[in-house]
Amino acid sequence: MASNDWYNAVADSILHIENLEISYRIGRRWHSAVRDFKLEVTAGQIVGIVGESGSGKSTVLKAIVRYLGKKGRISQGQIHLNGDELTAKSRRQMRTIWNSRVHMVPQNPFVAMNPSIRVGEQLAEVIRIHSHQRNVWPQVYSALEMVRLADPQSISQRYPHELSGGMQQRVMLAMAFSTSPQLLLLDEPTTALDVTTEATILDLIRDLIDTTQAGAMYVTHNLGVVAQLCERVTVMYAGEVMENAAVADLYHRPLHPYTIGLLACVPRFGQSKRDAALRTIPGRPPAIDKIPSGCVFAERCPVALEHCFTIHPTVETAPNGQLVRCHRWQEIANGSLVVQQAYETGLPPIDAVETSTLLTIENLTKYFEIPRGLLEFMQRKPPQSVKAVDGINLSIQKGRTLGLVGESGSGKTTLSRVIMGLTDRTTGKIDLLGIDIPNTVRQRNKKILRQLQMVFQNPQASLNPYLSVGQTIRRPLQKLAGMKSQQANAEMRRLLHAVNLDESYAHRYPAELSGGEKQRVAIARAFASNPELIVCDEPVSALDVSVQAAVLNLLARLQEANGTSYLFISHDLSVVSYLADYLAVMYLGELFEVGYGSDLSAPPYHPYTEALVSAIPIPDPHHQNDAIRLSQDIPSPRNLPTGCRFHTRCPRFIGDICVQENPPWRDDGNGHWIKCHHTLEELTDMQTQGNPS
Amino acid sequence: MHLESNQRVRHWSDSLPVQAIKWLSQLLRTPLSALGTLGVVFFVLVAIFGDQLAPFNFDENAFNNNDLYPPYKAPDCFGDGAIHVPIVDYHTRLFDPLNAECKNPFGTDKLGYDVYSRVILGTREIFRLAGLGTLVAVLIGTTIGLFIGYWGGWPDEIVSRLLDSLLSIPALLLALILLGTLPESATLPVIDYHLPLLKNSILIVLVVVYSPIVARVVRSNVLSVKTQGFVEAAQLRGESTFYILWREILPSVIPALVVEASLRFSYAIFLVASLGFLSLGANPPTPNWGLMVNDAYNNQDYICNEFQCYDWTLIYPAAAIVLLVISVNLMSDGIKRLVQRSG
Amino acid sequence: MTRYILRRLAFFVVTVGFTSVLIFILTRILPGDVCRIKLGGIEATPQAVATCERELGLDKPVIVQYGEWLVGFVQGDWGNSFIGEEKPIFPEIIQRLENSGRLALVTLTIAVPISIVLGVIAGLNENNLVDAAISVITLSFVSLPEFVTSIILINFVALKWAPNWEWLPFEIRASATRFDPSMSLWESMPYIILPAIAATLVLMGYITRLTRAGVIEELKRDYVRTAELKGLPYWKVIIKHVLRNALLPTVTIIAISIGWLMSGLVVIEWIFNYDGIGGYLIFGVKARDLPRIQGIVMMTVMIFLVVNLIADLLYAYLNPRIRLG
Ligand code: SF4
Ligand code: SF4
Repeated sequence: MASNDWYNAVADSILHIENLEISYRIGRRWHSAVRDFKLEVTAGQIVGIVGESGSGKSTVLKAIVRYLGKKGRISQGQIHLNGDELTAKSRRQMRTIWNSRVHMVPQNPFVAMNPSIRVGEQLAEVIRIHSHQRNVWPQVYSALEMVRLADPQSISQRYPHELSGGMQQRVMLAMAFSTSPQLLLLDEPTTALDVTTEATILDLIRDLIDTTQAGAMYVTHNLGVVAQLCERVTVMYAGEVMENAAVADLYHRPLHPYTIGLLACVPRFGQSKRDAALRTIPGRPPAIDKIPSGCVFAERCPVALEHCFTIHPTVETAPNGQLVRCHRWQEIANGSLVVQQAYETGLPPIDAVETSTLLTIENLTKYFEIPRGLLEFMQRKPPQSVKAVDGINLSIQKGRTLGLVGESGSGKTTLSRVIMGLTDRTTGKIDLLGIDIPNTVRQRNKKILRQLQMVFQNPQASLNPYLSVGQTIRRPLQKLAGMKSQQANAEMRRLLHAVNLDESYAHRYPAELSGGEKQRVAIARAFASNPELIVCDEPVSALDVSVQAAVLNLLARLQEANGTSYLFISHDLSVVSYLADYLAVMYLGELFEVGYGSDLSAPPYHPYTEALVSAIPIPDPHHQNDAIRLSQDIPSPRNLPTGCRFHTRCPRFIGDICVQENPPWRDDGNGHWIKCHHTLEELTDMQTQGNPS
Repeated sequence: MHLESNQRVRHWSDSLPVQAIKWLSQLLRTPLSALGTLGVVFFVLVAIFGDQLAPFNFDENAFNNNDLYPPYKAPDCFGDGAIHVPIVDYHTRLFDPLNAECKNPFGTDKLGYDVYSRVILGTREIFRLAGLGTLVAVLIGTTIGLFIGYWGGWPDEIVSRLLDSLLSIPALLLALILLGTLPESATLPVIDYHLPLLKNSILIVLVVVYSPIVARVVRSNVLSVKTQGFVEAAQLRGESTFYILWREILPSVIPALVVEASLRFSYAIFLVASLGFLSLGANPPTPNWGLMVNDAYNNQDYICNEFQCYDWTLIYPAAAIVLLVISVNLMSDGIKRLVQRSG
Repeated sequence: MTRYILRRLAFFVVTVGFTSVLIFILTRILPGDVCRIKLGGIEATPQAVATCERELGLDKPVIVQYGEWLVGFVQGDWGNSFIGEEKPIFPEIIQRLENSGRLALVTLTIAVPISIVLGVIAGLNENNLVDAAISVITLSFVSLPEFVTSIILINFVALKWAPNWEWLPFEIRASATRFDPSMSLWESMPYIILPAIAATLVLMGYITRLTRAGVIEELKRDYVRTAELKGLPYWKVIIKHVLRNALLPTVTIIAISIGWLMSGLVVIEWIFNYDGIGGYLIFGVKARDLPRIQGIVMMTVMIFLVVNLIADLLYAYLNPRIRLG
């Protein structure tokens, strides 16, 4: 019942995809990675494609530019670019299209540029083919200016590795827009960047599309980015379109159970574990060679009916133009069916439980010495050092979570490693329950070691691929908890249950587990010695949203049950604000704000925190973003700014005092501390009034 | 092609033995590496069952009566079974192993020794030297590489410089210095090849020449593994260095190690053959293929004219070397491709 | 860049130091009984051994011995040969070094361009027939020991095909008559060409395979996609983008292959009876002529290290990531 009328009604269509099927060869077999895909992009429109990893969202982009590689092919369907049918084009014909009509902006700009050619030349190449002119440099400079890079002459003389991530992505955007293309394909262009940089790049993309009136497709896993940037959104799952709707419709009246589930998974900024547990979507997407014949989502769908497993739903059009692929969308639309996910209540409020201090950090510093070169050595220059952690005082309460946030390069990971003893400290004291704990793991005894455990960021690397899950969890039980083999086995099974894994997992190897399952095993391993403190270093940043929610719930529940403290490090403020009872904001090796997790919901903020908060992409299209943007990159920790370290980027900059004097700590008498020359009242006033001009 | 991560087919999923079997079956799947692997297996079998297969001993005269027959005898499994095949044109006859007179399929050499038996027994000789040498080099190199890679700091700095220095001496030259200077006892002619192996200078040479390379490969692999979460988790448990190296790091290094070992083995065969050819470290009548080629070359057996042509004394050992090295190289290429694909 | 050069130079000095100690230990300390070796075994009388040790300075402390040896080495006093007329080693080696140099030069001029072209072609055609053909050929080159190729060359080229080519100066025993050092490179070419071909085969397989791997590696990188999606013609993508990066390491590969070449040349010179340091070294090893082994190895290692140093600096100069780092 696909409706072509809807598509035909759109007059200024730039891209029109119909019935697209893309297959990949694995071994000798072809498997379809994307099926029955349709899409419409009009001028000046940004269409978002959201999906978890493996949903086929990037594959669609590659198919549009016909760059699927030797193992991929378009097995069916049409792609019309302004009336031109692309699937039938030869490589030669594609080349002109590539040059002038479609451009792709990749996820990782650094590897997408040739490392040994100056960026100006790489940009000039595109323009040269397009315009057939000799001197293209004026155009190169104006393209660089268009993406708001100051001093285009000097930038174009540099090599990619001399630019920061944000600048690299700007250059890629300059390349993409330099020949005024009709269509832009953006493949997670901001995923590798910090939130603050991401926000400025997103603004830039929006402006460029508005001025050039090109059409754009924006592929991402981040529902917040889509809500802020796109007009229309397509939700993909296991290679199929689940739902396609205008942004407001999708976020406020989702019709597909998967979309509903996905939206419920994301922690909203300001939402806390004490309000309610996050909703999750249990299960995992089907593998590419095991696509079911019925609805691809049936296995995980909370409202699946029997015929969902056998009859494949087609895409249907709701009256408002919303496309949805579900047998039961009408029931959902008229409100007779409420899609309920597994739902748990929140944890008891914070002051319901008394607590005491577990760990105190005093004056902790970690300087990395830059080895002196022979030249410096002979000139007797004093050795330079990078002050990764510079005088931190902090305490962690028993059974509570301390959230630590900051951009990359702020020193938060170093701080956690110093606490764990994986990196030695330069000076300072760490006190755990009255014991002054030694510098590195090698000097620490079993008693201390068993109190401190860690969950790592990358689930791929955090489990030994050659040990089974059972062996992985048993080892700390025997080594640290001193259990005998029998007892350890029983305890291992209990831990597996505690992290919601079946006992049969004990015999599996990491390669057979999904990312979320690996992270659960890592959590079980961390809990094995029944530690007092677990450091979680971005434990969910590599996971898909639906999996992320389950892991966050798990962490919250285990904490409640075991009374364990967390030091939770993340760059994602929504996640931190969900999980953290206390909060610390770090910038260039120093703390700038310390307070309760709830302090994030209302001013006063430290200006840096304010910028971080305002950069969060909120998954709600009606949300008005305060336009506080940090335009520059974080300064190199080798050359720390004087006075307030944040003064080079501060949106609330006062004047000389910020450049010359280290700002004082100010507190509200309630445990909320801010380090700034502004008083808390001034900050509150400014921040409630809105933007600085 | 890029399939997103959880759909990627991964090969290294299981414990090591299971994985080894998987590898082997994968190796047999592509024609070239299957050929190489089968070749290596064939040579290994020949080496193991050499004593049973060889009709004569390596220094045993193939004739009961030396005076009646000329020492050089052409391969006699060709043609009509005449014992005295005209030596110049033995090539042109058909190979016929069922021939009743077939006693010396590869002919005999100038001393009347059976070339066939010597080539077979030479297989064992080459495996004993190159194989054992590689094994010891891999063991020592792995140990060094694991420790310096894991410890880092100044021990790594010093040992690495030392390894660099050793590696800056080309392999054959290093072998030559060692052979030129090792105490006499080690370079004694190995007439009785049942002599304790460790007294064999070639073995020492192989170990000294190849363990630095292995150490360097292992070290660089350790460097990339040791910062991974599972190793740090082990450190946080207070595991001993030995446990971490053995249980946590080594298994992840093994794929790269297998590739390196197979490569080293092919070079070791080369080196043993080359040294044999230079008649260093091995004296006649050791059944060393390189030595046999050298012998034939020095006696100009290979020059075929109307008066003489004993080229079988050269062709068969040379062919054996080439076949074995090609097999090992094909296999090692296959292993490398497998490891790269799954890593 | 200065920083890099200085670091690289420091590395060089350290490696040279370590290597010289190593060679010194291997050739002086390890054998223990230099004088017994010199005097030819166990029968030497204790007095003779004592005199000999005094002459060679072996009665001094090890450190002093090493110092004297090193100073001597730098000054061109490499000791006297143990055998024959006990002539000084240095001039002997230098003269042969020139011969070996000619051979190496010719080999590199033939091998490097051919194998780079082959490697690039194979890499661009990964996994199709052309690649398979080139791979099989190079694999067999790699698998053929140089003494086997040399014998084949001598047997078939010099003796079967071209016994009447007068310019090819090979006798029935298949060894070249030696050329006069005063001949120009061109004049000596007939003497050089066969050994050079044998050495080329050894090198070619090696360089081709490395180049191929480099090209394949670069082709997988994302910037290739970016370049193609700019709409650049394929040849331009390859030449301007891929080869620029893929051929950078070739500088290093060639430098390393010089190490290979030196090993290969030893055997090849021996077979072809070519009057270079390789053949001279093997006679030395057989006769246990320690000063000769010491001198030749030390010198070859120096050449190898210097070549590598130059290659590294060149690589750094060509590679912007290091140049500016
Ligand atoms: S078709 Fe059925 S299983 Fe699929 S999403 Fe709709 S209700 Fe769920
Ligand atoms: S002290 Fe000044 S520069 Fe620093 S955060 Fe406050 S206002 Fe900004």
